[in-house]
Order: sequence, then structure tokens, then C-alpha cells
Amino acid sequence: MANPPSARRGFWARITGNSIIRTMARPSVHFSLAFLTLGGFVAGVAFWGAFNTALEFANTEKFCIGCHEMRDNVYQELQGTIHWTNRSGVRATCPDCHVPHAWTLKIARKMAASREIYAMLFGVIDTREKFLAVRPELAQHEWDRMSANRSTECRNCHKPESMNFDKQKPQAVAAHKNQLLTGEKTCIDCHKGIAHKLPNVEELPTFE
Amino acid sequence: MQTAEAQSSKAREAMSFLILSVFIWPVIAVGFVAAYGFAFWIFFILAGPPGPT
Repeated sequence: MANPPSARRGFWARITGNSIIRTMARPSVHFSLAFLTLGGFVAGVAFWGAFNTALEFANTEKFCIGCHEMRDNVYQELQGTIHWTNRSGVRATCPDCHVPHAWTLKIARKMAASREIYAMLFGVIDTREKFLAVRPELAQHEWDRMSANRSTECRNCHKPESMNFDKQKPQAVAAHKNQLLTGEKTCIDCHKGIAHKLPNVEELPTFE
Repeated sequence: MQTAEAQSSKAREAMSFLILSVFIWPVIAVGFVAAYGFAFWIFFILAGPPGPT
């Protein structure tokens, strides 16, 4: 009350002169350290839980197909593939393949999705025609990413050491023994277009 | 017996505590995580996609 707000006072002086701000910057007079640390602890637990819940929600298929760009294009195509139905009933959801599982890379991917939010808000891919036009570019992004990480997302489920070569066709055994086990190639180098339709090859950036 | 001045400073401290614990620190924490993610995204744009994990 000693310093009534005045138009002549600068911005910073008004901030630091604010009684709540001054209270925040000083030791507590009324609350014990035990109470304050308990409060911080409880708030921290609640925050961590809420953060992970939100992060997990953003990693559900329901969230992915919340925009029609995903629901009407790539999600429909997945439904005809072995990653959707198969004899064992195990299936891959969008984030299993398209969101890195390591924490740092996952957070980086979530931030990269700001570009997708922009595309959704401004209707960059809001028709089937627009989607088909950018499909070669989008597919190439994922192929480049999976080539660079040696198909990490595939290998989260598929382990070369657990492959029973007796149950594979001779052609597959040859390819896996000569190229996969030697480290010459990884899954995505051969298995493109297994969960979504392939783009027209002529439209690919790498086509010559 | 508390004076009116002590009571109002206690209310101010309680309010400060609530604002800090449910708003300011959570926003700063989310901001740090977002900045961390953006930094890695920008790094990968420049350096190419990351290797196997």
C-alpha cells in the first residue's frame, strides 16, 4: 500500500512491486518447509501422471485418426494388410511404427507433429487428390527415417534371431540370410508398401 | 490471535503457493520438454534422421 500503482512506474518496477510476486520471491512466513516440500511433491506426482497420460493419449490410434487425413487415407489402407488382421490376433497401431519408442525421439516426433497440425488447420491434404499428390514425398520421408534407424520400429516386434527359417519360403530364407543377418540391409529396404499402398514409382523423388 | 495484516499475508502466501505449484511450474516444465523436443527436431532436420536405438 506504500507504493500505489502509478502510470509513471516502469514495467519491471510494476512486476516486482506486485505483492504476489514479492511473496513468491521471499521465504514463507506462515508455512513450514515440510508443508511446502510436501505440496511440491504432491503437485509433482500429479503433474508427472497427467503428463504421461496426455503423452499416451497422443500415442493412441483414436488420436491419430481424429483427423480425416489419416482416417480416410492411410488408416483405410492398413485395414487390408497383415498388420491389421492375422491368425495370431496381434496387430500394429499407427504409433507402433510411426512414433519412435525412445523418449527423446518420441518427444521430438511429437514436436515435429506441429507441422501436421498446421497442415490440418490449413487443409494442406484435405482431399484424396491432394493426398495422392504428396504421397510419394510422405512415403519417402518414412522410408528415409526407417533406413537411417535400421528399421528400429519394425525390430521392436520382429527379431531376426527369433525367425524360424524352416517356416519361411526358400526365397525369403536366402534374402534374410544373405542380406538381413549380414547387416547389409534392414527390413524397410525390401518391405515397402506392406502396411499402406505404394506410391506410383515414377512419382518418387528418387526415381530416375 | 492473528492481526488482520498477518491473515492477509498468509492468504497471499497460500495463493502464491497454489499459483506456483498448479500453474507456473507445470507450464515451465512443459515448456522445457517442448523446447527439448523442438531442439532435437531441428537438429535432425539439419543432421539427417537419427540412427538405430
